[in-house]
Amino acid sequence: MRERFKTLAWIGAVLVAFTLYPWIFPTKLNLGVVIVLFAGMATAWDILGGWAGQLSLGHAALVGIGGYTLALLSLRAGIPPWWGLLAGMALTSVVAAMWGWIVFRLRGPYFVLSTIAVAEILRLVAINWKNLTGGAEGLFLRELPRPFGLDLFDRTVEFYLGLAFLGIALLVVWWLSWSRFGYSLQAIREDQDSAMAMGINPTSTKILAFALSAALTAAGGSLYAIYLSFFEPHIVLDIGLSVELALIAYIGGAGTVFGPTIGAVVLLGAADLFRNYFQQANLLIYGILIILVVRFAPEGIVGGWHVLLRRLTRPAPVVPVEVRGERP
Amino acid sequence: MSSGSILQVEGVHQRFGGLLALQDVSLSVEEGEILGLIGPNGAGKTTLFNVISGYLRPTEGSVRFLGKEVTGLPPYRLAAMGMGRTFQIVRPFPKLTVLENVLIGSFLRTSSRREAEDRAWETLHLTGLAPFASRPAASLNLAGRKRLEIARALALNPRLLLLDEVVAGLNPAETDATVKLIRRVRDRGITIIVVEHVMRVIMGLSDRVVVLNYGRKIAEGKPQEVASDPAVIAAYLGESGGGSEGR
Ligand SMILES: Nc1ncnc2c1ncn2[C@@H]1O[C@H](COP(=O)(O)OP(=O)(O)O)[C@@H](O)[C@H]1O
Ligand SMILES: [Mg+2]
Repeated sequence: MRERFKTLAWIGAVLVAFTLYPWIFPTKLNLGVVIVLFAGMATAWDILGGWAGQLSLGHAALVGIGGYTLALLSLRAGIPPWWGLLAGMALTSVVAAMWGWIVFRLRGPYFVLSTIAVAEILRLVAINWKNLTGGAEGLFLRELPRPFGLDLFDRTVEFYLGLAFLGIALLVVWWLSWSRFGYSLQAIREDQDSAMAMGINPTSTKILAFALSAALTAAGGSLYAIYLSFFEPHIVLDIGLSVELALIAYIGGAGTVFGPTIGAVVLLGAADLFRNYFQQANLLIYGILIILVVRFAPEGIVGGWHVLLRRLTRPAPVVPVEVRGERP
Repeated sequence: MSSGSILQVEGVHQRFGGLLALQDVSLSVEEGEILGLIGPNGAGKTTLFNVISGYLRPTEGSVRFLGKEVTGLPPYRLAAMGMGRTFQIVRPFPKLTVLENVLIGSFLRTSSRREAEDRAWETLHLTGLAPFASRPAASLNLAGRKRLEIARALALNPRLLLLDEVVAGLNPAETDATVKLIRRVRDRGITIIVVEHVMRVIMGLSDRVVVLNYGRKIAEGKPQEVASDPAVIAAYLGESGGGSEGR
């Protein structure tokens, strides 16, 4: 009970801290937009990958559908971006539900393989279906309407839109952290047979988790498309993007409320810091961080922090359970 | 087949490749009783539990629960109908706390976190696990983890409880406590099938006993009758050290 509201207060604190970013780093707005968007999308990824334990290496497909839906509706039909964003969310959740319906019946590595395959197929479709998608040359969002007079191509506006998106993603995982649905996901992740004995239907629960994760990822993808304003299949539908979202969540701490956000700040921040010194530094940084996390904090930064706290506050726990019959 | 029958197993066969793990097994469980299910290792007790609770679809035969045909229904449907089970090889959700493990069970009957948590605490007090509520399940010893199996199943608020070797491997004091707990659960009106390898425990606990050997039902009746049945004695003597495991 208490715990749950403490987490909510922390979410508030994190969001407030982020609102100061444009004043503290006025010259680093691009990085800021990317951090909040990737933090939100990695949090969305984590609903499925971390909380439900279903590894996806194809979330770029959902980012791409979100981005392309917004851009194509805007370019081809003049539909305003907020409707495009909602349409992208609706479309991806339907796609994810159908996809999950097919593949979550099977146990084993089928899901992760299907994610790679689907994302790759979508990328090829986007490259080859030139009439619809503009092919490999990509799409250029030249102009967008101005809701309440806001210029959607202004980095500060984009930052706060991205931050609102991150806030929503954090609230969703906060809800997971205490609700029945969230515990169903964790039960499936921990032991699917046990979960079934507890009355949990693994297939339908995973499908719901996937649809939720997909819709949120698509929302991030839509905003990412606006931020990029010019994008092509090899940016928003690339397996590299899928892997990056998964890595951000793992390094920060998969299946935790703040893990993906911490992962995004650390990973993208470090990559940006060192990019000035080395070309291609982000790959190097990612490699080093992965090794460090795997070696010292296999549960990610958040997990490592908890282990550290436990060591500091309590001696190693010895647990002899004395089971007596207690009066009910 | 009296009107008070809560579970009926009829003519169940279970084949694993060339192995016939269950052969024409039939039994019926009366509402409110404790039915003991015994037999040497490999007799098919766990397999029968898996058939009853939906983890295996029997090669032949049928299962009726609460008067409904449930053969082939998935485990989660049966859980929702009121069937709780434990696993012989305990499988708690290791990274979650003891309280959270039980909470997941009580979420079956309510989506309100507060109600589910109240129910979970009630179950923890009943099972003596309350002092360990905030420990990760993986940190409990065997006795604790077996207790947790029972607690999770109880949190489902079941009509029928299937307990698979919940005292095997426990010391005498722990065994005693678990036996008391099982009686207390029955007094709350829950029907129970207890699988146990340890004869002594089951004889004192059960109203009625069914004996399996090599996948066949070889005896059924009151504990004393069964204990003196030559076929049962032969089956247990045939097993080295039979019946004495777990003290
Ligand atoms: N899933 C399975 N696949 C193949 N054989 C199995 C399976 N489950 C159980 N068996 C076999 O069925 C027989 C009965 O096993 P089991 O039901 O576990 O016995 P018990 O619980 O009475 O000790 C054993 O020979 C066991 O090896
Ligand atoms: Mg067994």
